[in-house]
Amino acid sequence: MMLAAAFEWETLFFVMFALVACVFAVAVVFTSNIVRMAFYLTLSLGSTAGLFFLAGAEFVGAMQLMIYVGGTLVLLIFGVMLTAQARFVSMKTAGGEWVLAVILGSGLLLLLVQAAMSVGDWRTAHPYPRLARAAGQFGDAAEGLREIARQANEATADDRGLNAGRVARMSRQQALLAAQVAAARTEFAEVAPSAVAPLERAEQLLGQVGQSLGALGGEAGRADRLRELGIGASDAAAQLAAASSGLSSAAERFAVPVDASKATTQIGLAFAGPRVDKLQQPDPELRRGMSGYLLPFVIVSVHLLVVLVGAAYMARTKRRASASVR
Amino acid sequence: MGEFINRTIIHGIVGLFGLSWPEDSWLGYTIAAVIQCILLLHVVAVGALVFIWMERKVSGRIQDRLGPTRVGGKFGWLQTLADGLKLITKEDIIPRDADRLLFRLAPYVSFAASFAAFLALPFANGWVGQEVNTAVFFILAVLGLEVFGVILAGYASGSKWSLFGAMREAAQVVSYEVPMGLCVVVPVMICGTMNLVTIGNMQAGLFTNWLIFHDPFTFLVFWVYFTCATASVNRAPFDLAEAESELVAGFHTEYSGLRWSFFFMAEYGSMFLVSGLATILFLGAWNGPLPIFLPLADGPLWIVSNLAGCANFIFKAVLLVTVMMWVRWTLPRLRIDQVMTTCLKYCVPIAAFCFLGALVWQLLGVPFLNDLVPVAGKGRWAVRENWVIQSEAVADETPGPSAAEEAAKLTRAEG
Repeated sequence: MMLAAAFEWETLFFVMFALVACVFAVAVVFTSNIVRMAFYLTLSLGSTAGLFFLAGAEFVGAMQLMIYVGGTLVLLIFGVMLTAQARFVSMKTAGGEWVLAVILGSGLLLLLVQAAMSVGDWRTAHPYPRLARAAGQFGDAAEGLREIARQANEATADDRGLNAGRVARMSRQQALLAAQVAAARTEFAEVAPSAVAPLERAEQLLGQVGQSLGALGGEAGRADRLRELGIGASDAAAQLAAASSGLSSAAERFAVPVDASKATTQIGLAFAGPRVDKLQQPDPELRRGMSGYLLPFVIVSVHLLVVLVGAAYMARTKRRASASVR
Repeated sequence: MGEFINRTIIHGIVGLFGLSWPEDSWLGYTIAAVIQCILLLHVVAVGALVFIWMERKVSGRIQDRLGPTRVGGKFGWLQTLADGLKLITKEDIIPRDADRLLFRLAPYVSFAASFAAFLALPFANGWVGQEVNTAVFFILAVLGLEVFGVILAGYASGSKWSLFGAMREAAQVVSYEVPMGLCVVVPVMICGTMNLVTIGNMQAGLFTNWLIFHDPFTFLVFWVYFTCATASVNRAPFDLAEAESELVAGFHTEYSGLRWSFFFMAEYGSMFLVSGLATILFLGAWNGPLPIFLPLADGPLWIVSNLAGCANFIFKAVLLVTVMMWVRWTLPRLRIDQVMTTCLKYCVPIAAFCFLGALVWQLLGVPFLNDLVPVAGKGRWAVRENWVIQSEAVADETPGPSAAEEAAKLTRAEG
């Protein structure tokens, strides 16, 4: 059961695709046979497409397959196989080229690492469903607390105790709710700042309610305890209602009409164009500058195409007859 | 399906012991994935088994022969299985000059590409391995990779016949992707979506709602698509990559045994795939000519409606595959220049013309057969925006909210 909770296919697939992409990218560099190079490149690019599909960016994934993989394929055919005469063409690189390539490559790598670190967790789902769910949950919880308060007040008015079973049920509810509130306070600290203060207050009040309930469990029927419980519960209910409305207003802010694809993550959406994480950016100046990732993607693909054409050209001009046949 | 297995089946079993099971557990999803993979694998493998037998029978009939008659009793229906056994027992030969790694890998690349495209192909309303929003694009992209295996095979064989075959295939497939893409764009433009499930549901109702009857241009473009599809899966009269009269067997000259059969399975898999795509894009997908089972779709008997839809879909796709076989045994093989002429001088201009025609038709809203009986009472847009099912349910209770309000409500609910 614990294993069931800990295991995640997503992570497994991410690691798998990432490993395939990296291993074959390295293989491209260390192979001298051009056709195998192209084959490895295709595998590497194909598993990058797998990463896109994993992030829910289906369009970009298919695009990657069509442009990169298909493009490499066509280039392989017309650029390399038709221009090179020997069947097995091998490329030799001089020392100067290595230095240049290392400088250029590490520069690009630094840029990429910087860019990759600036993006949030790739699995972060769109915050709207979580916010809406939490808002509904706390609304219901506020109702439940009001009910507790009502019962406590009635018991005070009638000057009779609450029965032990009911108290036990109430404290179970209280414990569950306190845990939920504590979790929500950390979870929504960034996306819904207006809900944080009521949630904090509600957490304290819930602690008090818990204490009152615990005391009731010991010596049932004490009127001031009950009154305390009634007041605490109704205060906590008010705070939770405030938190719920804060959460739902935050949810409204995130309610972008996104299509039904429930698998799409923030980063997946950003690949297709809409940057939902823009909504979290408080600075309007910065918000305007955040465009989707599709344009850089296309620019990079054009760049890659140029590189490939260059590679084909090099393969043609730097042909070494002696080293060509295996 | 994953949620269903978690919620109903596993939870039910675990519930006997008084435990509960999380709805989003990995186990349910894994079981669902395995079931779907096995089903799809059977579509490709068993499909190939049936199609190869059918090919023999069809070719036999066309050439006034009987075809296979002995294996498996009547009609020789086990002939393919016998062939498969023969292929398994054959020696696996790799030529001395071959690039051994690529030679071994090539058949799997071909087969994997053909098989992966089935992932996004729906067989009935909602019965699809993975409902991809851009399914049309995905299928075209993945199907285009099949040629990669062919080229690797031709190159790695170390044989001139193979290399010639592969180069022909490359030139042909790359050229025919252009008109094929243009043809596919027409239904996508009319429907305004690339989701195949939605495109299929948009053609519900009478057979006049099929997109092939949308206007005269879509009718024409269907035939162009079918021609290009035949060429892109390398079937006669476009099978220059394996022209036995010139190239021995083209790209798979050097292959034997099981490796060779993988190419065969990939070919028949792709045939079914492009036929299925044609069925969904033009021929009404899983909707029969008369909407007999459509009223059941929303009720508890939806599974009957879906099964009938699945049968419809497979019947139509197999019919198209049969037409491909019929064409193969009727027309002589084209020369390479004729293949290119067909593509560049006929298919591309006709497809482009039809695209423009369908665009103008759509823009002017000229009525045609499609408008005789509107789709699902509310028209195609309602299907695409997912208004139909819910808004009709709402309309029964409270007449009132406008379409825009409903849409807003729905996006909230789904977001």
